[in-house]
Amino acid sequence: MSEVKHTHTEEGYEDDIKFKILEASLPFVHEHGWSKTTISAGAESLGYPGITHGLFPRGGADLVNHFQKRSNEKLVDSLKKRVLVAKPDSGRVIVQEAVKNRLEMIVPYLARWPQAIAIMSLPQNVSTSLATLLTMTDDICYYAGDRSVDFNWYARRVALAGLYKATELYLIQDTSPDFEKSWKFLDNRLAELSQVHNLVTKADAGGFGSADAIKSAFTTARNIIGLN
Amino acid sequence: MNYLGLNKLGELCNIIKKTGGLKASLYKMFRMDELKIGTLVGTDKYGNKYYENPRFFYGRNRWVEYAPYYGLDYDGSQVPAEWFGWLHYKTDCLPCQDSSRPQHKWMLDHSENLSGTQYQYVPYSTTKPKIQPWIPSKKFFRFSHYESGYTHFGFENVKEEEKAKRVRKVFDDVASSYDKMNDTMSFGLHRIWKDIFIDRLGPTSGTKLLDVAGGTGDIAFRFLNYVISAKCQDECHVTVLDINPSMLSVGKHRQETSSFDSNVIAFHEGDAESLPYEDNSFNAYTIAFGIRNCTNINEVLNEAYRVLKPGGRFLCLEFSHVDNATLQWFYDQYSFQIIPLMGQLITGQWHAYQYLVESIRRFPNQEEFKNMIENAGFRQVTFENLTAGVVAIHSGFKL
Repeated sequence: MSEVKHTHTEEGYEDDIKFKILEASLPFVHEHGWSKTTISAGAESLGYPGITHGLFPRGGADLVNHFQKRSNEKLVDSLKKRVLVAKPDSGRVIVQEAVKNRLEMIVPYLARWPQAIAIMSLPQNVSTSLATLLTMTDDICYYAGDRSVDFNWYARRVALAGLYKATELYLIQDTSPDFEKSWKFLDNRLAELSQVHNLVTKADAGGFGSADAIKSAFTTARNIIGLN
Repeated sequence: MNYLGLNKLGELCNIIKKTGGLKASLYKMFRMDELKIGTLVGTDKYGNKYYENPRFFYGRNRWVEYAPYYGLDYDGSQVPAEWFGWLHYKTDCLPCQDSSRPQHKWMLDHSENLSGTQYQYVPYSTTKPKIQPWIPSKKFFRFSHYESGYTHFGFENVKEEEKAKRVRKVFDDVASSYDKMNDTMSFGLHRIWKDIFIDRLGPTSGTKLLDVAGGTGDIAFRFLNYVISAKCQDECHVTVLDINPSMLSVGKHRQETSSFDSNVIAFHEGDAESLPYEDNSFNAYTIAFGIRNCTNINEVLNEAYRVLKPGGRFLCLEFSHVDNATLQWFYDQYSFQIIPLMGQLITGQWHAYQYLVESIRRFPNQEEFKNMIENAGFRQVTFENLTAGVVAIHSGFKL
């Protein structure tokens, strides 16, 4: 650490330190869970006093949020590479791989993951957790080749978010070797979704009018959580 | 004579004579732009005189001479309605002769047109103005009028070296009953504020805390209780620094009679503006209800920055500014009317408590103080209001 007093123009400086501390905290999650104690341990491993956890007033929620955001970024990187070698019309394969890939990122923290889900379901954290979830599904849909500008845009993302969350819940209780059952579960749900999609498309063609209502509800929800 | 018009001269002499002499005639010419005589037919109650002279043609044969007190400020609206009719040939009856003229009790006296005078009617707006004019504070201009070498002691301005002495006397006077008075004046709220304060600090094992201006040990003992109940007391230590030995002796006494070991808590006498410690020797710095009594706040902040380790946290609990106007009123009444009185009744110290409330008003507000902390080099500076801004917790990190 330099002892020069820094000017306040360098915004990135503080964010950089916060990022480093949270990153250093992740290895301690196994020991202390998603908590202030973990952040303290991470800060100490970087030579900062434990009290530095005060930089993150929301404690465990900040740590989980950091992990989710970072995992999303990693996912986008891998998706970018995957898309380059993808065959046309392989959207479903990409989605399945992406969801599996993303879920594998939480496997190292699986023992502590129920706690993370609990923290992020607290009312004060719901908006951030929904935002990260929808960002993730948006990225996956985009790279899987979804360029729709109609109601499908919403339907795909909501359906994918539901699929991801369902598989996540399955995963934390999965005891099968290499989580085979979870991936099977994911496969089955995707197949079901395709069926439902077909059904909805046909129903819509037959003059089914509820699509607009769902669409407007979704827009409102996005406005509320500040995504638009 | 008539042919030469000399009879006109005679008439002029007659008019001047009737008007009241040469001087009065010149004044009448100046005021009314004409000089003519006629029969006085009546005077209204404002003193205006009405004349008639059939020698002049129709339209000029009735006229008014306004009462002398109008001077040059006469105008047509000063003629009352009843005379207006006669003057403008609506009727040939004089007001006193006109039986058809309505007479009711509710009829108001005539009044002239007041537009353009200070008595004019101005309608007031029933809507709230969107823009409030800036009105300079009458009570005190914070920070703006200090001469160099002077600072404030309550609402008084005193020499810098004198403030330290006077603050010291205040706390000498109140030390013995300090906690009792805090409880009474804040209705016990100060305990909750201090508990929240320590909770925000969230000490962890290995915390080396410097509690400045904490003579009676309020913060220090809360800190120790917190780390013991959170089971992270390993290598925790608190240093209490106060400039006032009377306050320190209260704290020491409390420590001796408590269960806390003397090697986790130390009491030092010293000045917050020149801390007797090495650079980078503490990882948390707290100052609760102390910083506004210091002469040079910026120096206190610089010293805090110096003694903190990188990553260390500065936390300040201090009275601040209430953000709600209604609450502010109640708070002001309570502060200026009741607190000094309670101080007098409980401790016999009116002036000490008057100083306390005045010094609260002189302390910079939340945003100003936040800027001062940032200027000392701290980062990630935030503040949190408690009880609508009666007190605020400011936090900053040395990163």
